Amino acid sequence: MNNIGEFISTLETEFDELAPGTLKPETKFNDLDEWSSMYSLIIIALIDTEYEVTISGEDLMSISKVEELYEMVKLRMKQ
Amino acid sequence: MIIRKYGITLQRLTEADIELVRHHRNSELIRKRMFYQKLITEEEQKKWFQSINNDFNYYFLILHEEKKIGLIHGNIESYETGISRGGIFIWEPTAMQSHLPIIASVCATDLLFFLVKIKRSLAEVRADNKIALEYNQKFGYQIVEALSDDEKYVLELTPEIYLETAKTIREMVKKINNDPSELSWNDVELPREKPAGLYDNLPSHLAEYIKFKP
Repeated sequence: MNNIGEFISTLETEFDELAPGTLKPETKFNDLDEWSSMYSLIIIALIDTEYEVTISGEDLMSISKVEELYEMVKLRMKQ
Repeated sequence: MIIRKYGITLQRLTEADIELVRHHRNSELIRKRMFYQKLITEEEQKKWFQSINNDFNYYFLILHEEKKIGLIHGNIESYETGISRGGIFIWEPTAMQSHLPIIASVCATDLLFFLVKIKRSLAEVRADNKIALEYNQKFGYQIVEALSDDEKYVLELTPEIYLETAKTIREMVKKINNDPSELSWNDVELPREKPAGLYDNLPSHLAEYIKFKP
């Protein structure tokens, strides 16, 4: 994971009806029409398989924006 | 009956909490997703509770970190036919789009299929509620055309299709909670004393586990 742009591109592949470029660092997950409890789980699974980083459901509930998720994943990749 | 599994708690609904449930069930956000959309009175709620507080109805409050966030249920038509009708609603805004509804659904579905041993689970969804329809389909529920109409979809799930379709969901739920085990009777806590009117006429496979001291 080189930068947030790459991270966002990876995230966008998981959303069926999201046009590329829709997600921005400041995008709030809850503001997305597609966002649902199922996507919460899908994103946790994606981060686990793509980056080998474990985030919990509670971790995801504690943040709201894409950039916060990126920072969380980046930090844990270093650990 | 209390079930603690995968980071949440399912606590059998008691009369002490029916006003809390009524308060949230009457909110506009919840009502508009329900088939019965009129405001429910305190008296109606009491009558409803009396009708469901028996061995055929499993209504559980969903708790996360001690906070009551929603209600999930399965109504068993009969233990002989093994058909159950289920539903869920979450009232806590921060939990609605979180992983928690999925965990509650996995726990309740596992309970009904693998401990209570029902054979078919039915769900009714308003035809205009696409989110609920898709949510159920991710677990393997399939539309039963013959029972559906313009106003509602009736969906059906069997244990076999659930295990196949929701395999990834169930694996993720286990993984994010660092708990690879399946739901078992060890996760089920019973009250010290038998509640009046409950657990009197259970089938033998349940009576074996649901026991109280005389």
